[in-house]
Amino acid sequence: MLAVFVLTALILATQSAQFRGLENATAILTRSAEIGMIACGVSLLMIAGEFDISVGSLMVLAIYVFTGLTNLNMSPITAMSLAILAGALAGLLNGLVTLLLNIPSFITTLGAMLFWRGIVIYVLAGSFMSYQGDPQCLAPFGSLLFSHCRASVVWLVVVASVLQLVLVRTSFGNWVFAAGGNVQAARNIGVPVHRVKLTCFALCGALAALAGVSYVARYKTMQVSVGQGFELEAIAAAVIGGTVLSGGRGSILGTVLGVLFVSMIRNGLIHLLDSSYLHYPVTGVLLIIAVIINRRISSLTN
Amino acid sequence: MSARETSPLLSLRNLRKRFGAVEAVSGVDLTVESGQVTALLGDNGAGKSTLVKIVAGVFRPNAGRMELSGQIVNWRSPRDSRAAGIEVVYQDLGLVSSMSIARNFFLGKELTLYGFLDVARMRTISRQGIAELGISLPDTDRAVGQLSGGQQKAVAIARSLHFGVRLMILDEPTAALSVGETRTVLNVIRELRERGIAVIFITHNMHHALDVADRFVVISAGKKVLDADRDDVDHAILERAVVHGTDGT
Repeated sequence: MLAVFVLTALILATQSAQFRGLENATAILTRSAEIGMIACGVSLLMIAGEFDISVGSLMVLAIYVFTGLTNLNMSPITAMSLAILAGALAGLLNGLVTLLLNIPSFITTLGAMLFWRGIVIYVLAGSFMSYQGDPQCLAPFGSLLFSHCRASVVWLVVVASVLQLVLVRTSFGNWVFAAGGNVQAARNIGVPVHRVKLTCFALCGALAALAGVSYVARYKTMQVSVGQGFELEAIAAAVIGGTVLSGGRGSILGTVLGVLFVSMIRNGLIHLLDSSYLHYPVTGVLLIIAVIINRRISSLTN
Repeated sequence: MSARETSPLLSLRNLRKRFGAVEAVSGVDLTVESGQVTALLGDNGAGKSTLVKIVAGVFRPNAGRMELSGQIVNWRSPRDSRAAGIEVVYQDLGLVSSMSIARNFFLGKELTLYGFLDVARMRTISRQGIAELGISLPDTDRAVGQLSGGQQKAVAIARSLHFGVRLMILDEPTAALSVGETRTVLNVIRELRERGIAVIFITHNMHHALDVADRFVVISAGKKVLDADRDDVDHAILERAVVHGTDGT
């Protein structure tokens, strides 16, 4: 994966003068920050054997909660915390419905995706909303560190590092792999499978909300369509990075690499072809190639 | 002798478990003694696995009483039963094939150091534990899915042995094993008895049961139909009990 990533970067760099250079590289990083946070949560949940395709809607919900509360003169820090809490609770709700009522998480979160975005569209009557709080409070996410690299990139690095560490170096991480790898075995041996999965659902929602806060810091304004398609891009990035749809395998670092890869391809195509329209077909093909490679690898190890 | 020593290690009274309209276990009494191998026999669907899962805390019984060393117990999850020294090696082994040997070995009972997994110790101990069974594995970082059936069984059994087991339940441990691997497993069962551990040995193979067991319990349609010592049974009696659900006499 890393080799393919570096190779693609080199090819793009030799082909396009605009692609080379710090400005463009940092622009790719910044663009990857929000989708990266979302993809980390999605990937964690996929490893635990569940899906969340409502993340784009949870993001817009968090943006609405954050912007709305700040505009009502609430302190942005409190509003931020409440927005992230809202994301975590909505994620938890996905988990509770899925596990207690025994519904596939794909279906639960498809419903949640329609529900939460629908609610925000209804409340805002399909219109947009601007952040009117203290701009200074957005600095921890939105300030430019150097070139086009924003502070949100640091958040992604922190989130991804912590999650990776938790996943491979803690008991909880061990249980996540077990819950996704063989849920019956995990339960029989005494792993609290429900608790593990619920935690992952909540974390996934909280990270989608964090991405929403980061988005507000960047654009100061939201449309009700924000984050549409993010869920699919996040899943695609996770899969390209080696996370398996059926659960039990994957890595957060791979997922972040997948996100950067997808962002880089998109950016490179824009510079090479002067068009952003080819981005989706190319990502689609890459996704399928990644799954084929993953299959090969796992059939070798079994 | 004190009361504690006179009461059997495990005692089940009138245990019942219902799934919807089906009663999988309908009023089973059973006692299990330390240092004794109890063969649990029965046809497919007779209720053996359900009974075992109740003892292991996977299912909660609808009625009945379960005592461990004379104390009434009520498992809320397999975590409770494992803490009390009951280990089960399931037919599907309870292993996660995509995970490494060391991680499987300590699944649910991970070793930690300052909150983080102590991977080095998990590797060493799992390697030693498996080696004690006379089976050497090259690398405990290998995924369990890469091992042979016999090696996987060794991992599962070694894991149970490691966690201070008082009652070991083996669900079809000899199914799909080679002759040599089967002999190893039967020897492990004998060794467990030597160590004073109670063993419940679930099998379809009466030769294997007659080979190692001290006591024979046959379950049919959720009920106990035979409960006898080694001296009182033979192949024909056991077979009649399993097939016809009678006590074979």
